[in-house]
Amino acid sequence: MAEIRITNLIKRFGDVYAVRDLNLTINDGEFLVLLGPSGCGKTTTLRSIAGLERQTEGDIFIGPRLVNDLRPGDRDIAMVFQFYALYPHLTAFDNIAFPLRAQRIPIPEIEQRVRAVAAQLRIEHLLNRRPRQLSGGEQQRVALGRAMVRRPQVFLMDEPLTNLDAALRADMRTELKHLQHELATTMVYVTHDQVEAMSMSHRIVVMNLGVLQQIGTPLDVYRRPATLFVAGFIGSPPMRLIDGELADDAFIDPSGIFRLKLNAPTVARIREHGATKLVFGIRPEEITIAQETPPDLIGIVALREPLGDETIYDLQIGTQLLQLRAAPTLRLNLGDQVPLKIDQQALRIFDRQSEQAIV
Amino acid sequence: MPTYTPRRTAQDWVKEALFWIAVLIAFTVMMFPLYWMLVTSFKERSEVTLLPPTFVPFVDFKPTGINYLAVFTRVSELGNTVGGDKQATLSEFPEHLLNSFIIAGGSTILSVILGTLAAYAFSRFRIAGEGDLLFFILSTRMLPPIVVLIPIFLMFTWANLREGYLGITLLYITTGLPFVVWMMKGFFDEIPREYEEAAMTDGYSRIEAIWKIVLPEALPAMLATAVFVLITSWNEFVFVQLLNPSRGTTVPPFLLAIVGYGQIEWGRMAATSVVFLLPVVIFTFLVRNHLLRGVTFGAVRR
Repeated sequence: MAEIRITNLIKRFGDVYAVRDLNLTINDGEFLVLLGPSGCGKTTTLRSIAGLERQTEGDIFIGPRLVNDLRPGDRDIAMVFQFYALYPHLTAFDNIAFPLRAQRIPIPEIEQRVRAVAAQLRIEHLLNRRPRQLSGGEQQRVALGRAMVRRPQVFLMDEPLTNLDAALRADMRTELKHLQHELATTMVYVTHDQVEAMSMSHRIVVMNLGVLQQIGTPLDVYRRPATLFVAGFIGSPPMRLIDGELADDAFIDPSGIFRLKLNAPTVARIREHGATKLVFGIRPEEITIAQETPPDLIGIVALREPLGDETIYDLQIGTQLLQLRAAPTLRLNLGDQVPLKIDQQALRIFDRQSEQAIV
Repeated sequence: MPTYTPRRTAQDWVKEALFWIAVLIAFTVMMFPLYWMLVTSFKERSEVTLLPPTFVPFVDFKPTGINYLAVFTRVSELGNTVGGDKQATLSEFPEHLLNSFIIAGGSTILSVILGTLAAYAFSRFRIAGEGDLLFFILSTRMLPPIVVLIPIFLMFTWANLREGYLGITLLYITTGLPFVVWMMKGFFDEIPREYEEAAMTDGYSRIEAIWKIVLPEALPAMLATAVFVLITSWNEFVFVQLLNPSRGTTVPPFLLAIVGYGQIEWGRMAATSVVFLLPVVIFTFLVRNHLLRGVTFGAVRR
């Protein structure tokens, strides 16, 4: 069990920056997810921690040890790969025993430890099979077993659930979370799937184009996105973003039809910040149907998407669209005019220039 | 649920028949020379050139083992006494067969080992000028060998490589290597590098990872490649005939040497060829299961 500390990590491939100046401390026993689209640097970061890539600059500590110059095998980490990377010519048993054999552990102990891990993962009956005789989910478990059996200080997981079908993926999410809780081992988990990130992690690190965008708990990242990128990346449907500026104490879009009065503290923060080109952001569940008059905004129903447990409405305000998440009992028809109330505590204002959140 | 099998139409039967006729023709065209050689090796001298020719042993003619005896022994007369004792001594053939084993076998093993290592490096590491280097390696195979015959003859004479095993083995390694490098690189590219990376995070060094994980995976491809390299050097005639015509030579030039005077010894040549073919046939037969997997690559499911 160990804390991981990354300071000023830079990784360049030729002229391309994969990771730019990353500073990150992963707590002992934490389940941390690196989240971002392809090419955001999350996998490179993970591989640098593993020692499979050598960082261009910066230091990586695992526990008290500086591991920059240690081989992957000497870092006391275990990694699970997207394609599991089970050794095809070895049985499941030998796959799991493989890291123990590297440590020259006596055979009876290997036997006992492999069986214990197999029992924990409920794969005892599969130990004599080769990888190609196993289903995707079974291969996944064997790969986990291989990682767990050596009791490493850190688990590194590179999109381990991507190749499973949807139902199995949901099961494995729960199971992985339990497993990490039981083992209390530090886990760094790379994914591009925000559902995995939200549901499993203690903290999420959102990255884009090699730059760290935000670190925070799942709810933090969801409710208070720190940058425009995070706002657009997290949430399904994502946060709705509208360009505009401050006029008196209201946010207006270029056409002037979308006009939303902001409360005093918000206006004060924007003035203090000084940015003129702004982006307004709101999530569908932070808009409600207004009971009092006058409403904050009036929208025209442009599209209805019934999802069963809820219905998403697209509401048109001038040339802008907002989305409203409503209970299925509410029935609005196309073309209806709907008075809307905007949650002033939840809305976000970003600086268009720096893309950072102001409010 | 009842299963529905569509009835075969007459057209389907014709297609099927034509397919098998084509296969039969191809098979006959390819196998007949081999069959003819095999049959000839069991014929008496007078039987070989008989017209019309005979095809089926025991039916058309009585097979004899005399040619095989002649492959391995030579009959010489002791002393000058008329009607003196005749004694059979070992022929030169086993010696040449051994040469073939050493030269073709050695060059095959060495080019597969060296080529596999080079291919691994090309597949896994960033190498400056990788594309150019690979093209250069391939380009050594672009000239017809006959074109470089004379320069190589002169070089080998100068470097004193024409005698013994070393020179010709080196030459066969040179021709085998490009093939091995390209075949094995294609194969390594198909093996996900996550295997080695997993082994390395599991506590092994890269060398150990290659030895324990990559090589067992690559073995079928190595064997398939070895078959092709072996057949090429086993059969090679022109270079060895020109460079090394002495006793140190392989079987193909020896075959030319036993054509005979006055009358061509078809039977003995056929028998020699059959014995000469056997080792390669046996090797190919032994690795046949790996052959398909090795040649079709795609051995690793992603």
